[in-house]
Amino acid sequence: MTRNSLRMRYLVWLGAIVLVATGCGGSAFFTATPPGFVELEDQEPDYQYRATSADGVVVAIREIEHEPKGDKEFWVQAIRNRMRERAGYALLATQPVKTKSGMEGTQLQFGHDEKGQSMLYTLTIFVTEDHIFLLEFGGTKEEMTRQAAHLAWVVENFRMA
Amino acid sequence: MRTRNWAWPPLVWVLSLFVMVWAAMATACGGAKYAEAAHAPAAPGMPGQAYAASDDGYAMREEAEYAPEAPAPPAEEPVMEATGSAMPAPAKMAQNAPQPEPAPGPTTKPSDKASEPTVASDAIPIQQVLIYTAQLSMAVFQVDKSLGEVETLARNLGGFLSHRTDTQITIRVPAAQFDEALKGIAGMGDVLTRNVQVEDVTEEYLDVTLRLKNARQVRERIAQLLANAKNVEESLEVERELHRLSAEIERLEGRLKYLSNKAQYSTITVTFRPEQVDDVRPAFQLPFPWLRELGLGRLMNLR
Repeated sequence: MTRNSLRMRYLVWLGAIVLVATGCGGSAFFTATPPGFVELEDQEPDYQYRATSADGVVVAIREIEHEPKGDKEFWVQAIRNRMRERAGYALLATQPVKTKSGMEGTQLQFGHDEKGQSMLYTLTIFVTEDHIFLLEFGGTKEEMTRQAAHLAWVVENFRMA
Repeated sequence: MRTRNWAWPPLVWVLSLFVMVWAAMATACGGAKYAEAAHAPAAPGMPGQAYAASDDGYAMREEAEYAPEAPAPPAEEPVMEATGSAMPAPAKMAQNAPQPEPAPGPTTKPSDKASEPTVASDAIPIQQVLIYTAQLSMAVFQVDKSLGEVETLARNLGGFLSHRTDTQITIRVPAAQFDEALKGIAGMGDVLTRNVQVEDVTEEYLDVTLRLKNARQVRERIAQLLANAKNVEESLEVERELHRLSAEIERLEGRLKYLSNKAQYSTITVTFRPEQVDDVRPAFQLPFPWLRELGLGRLMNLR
């Protein structure tokens, strides 16, 4: 084995290690931007995905490291308590959801008045072994209602990468 | 013979004495019977009282006067009849009435004892008097709409709006619809806290009812006394008492009305939490920073 071939092998392994260490440079999920929405780049690091409609309905996805471990019920209850007791949101509905890929999650719908306007905030949570995925939808009640089908489409097409 | 002559007169004397004693005893028995009857209780102030306290001799003389006119009556009645003719009408009523009637007079106040037997005999059906109240705290969402829905619910259940602000509403609903109203309100949104209280005011209700009844009865009697007042001073005094009683009756009526109203209509207060409640620090908080970043404020803040 020549010195060059050894060097090449070393670089390949190093590159592989770097890719694994950085999470392959991408997200652990895949999502599709619904019609009428635009994906936004260079957003806050807490959001791994963000899109908005022209009328102000925002879709965002958080990917959170699942540490410490907890089951889905724990995280759903933690979110529910936080939003109700601390943030003053009204819990309007809780329902199970399922994606086309078979992921099972829970969707919480909250209501909130801001400056005299009724807003809706929908949180969908998927819990896997390594990650907690939060799909956040927000906007005025009218627009959220109008975009309900598109938002449901986002949930249905969400899947792990 | 002398001996017989001396023996006979004492025998006759003894027999005669025996007959006299027998006659006297027969007569004395009737007098004793009348005397016994004469010691029966008589009404105070009755003319017969002095007669009843007289000695046997006097009683025997009275019997001698009344005996030819009528046969001997039962033991109790002779006193009544004998004294009834001289008894004043009010005193006679006092004898026959089931409860003592106060003697007429401007300074006479009806004693409590006089009214107690009447009240005690009135059986009031005992039923629980309960006052239901509830306070609900709900998360704020579409406050105006929710306030309107709560008000509409109250009207639909036969109740009414009691108080309303920008974030709080108080409704009154019939007690029978209390649970129904709570269910309806809970279905409108997210109930954060719920405080339901039931106050048993049965004892106070019955107490006020009895006191009111007594006061009314006393007022009627005092009104009668006012009609019989002999001078201005008496009238003024009675009127003062009448005025005091009227005020007391009004106060009791007000209290009774308040209790009845509170029991008839339950009170439900719904408070919608203000928008910003992050200043309120609960004792417990999960140590996951991302939880605190949830919400519309961050989501809608686009770069």
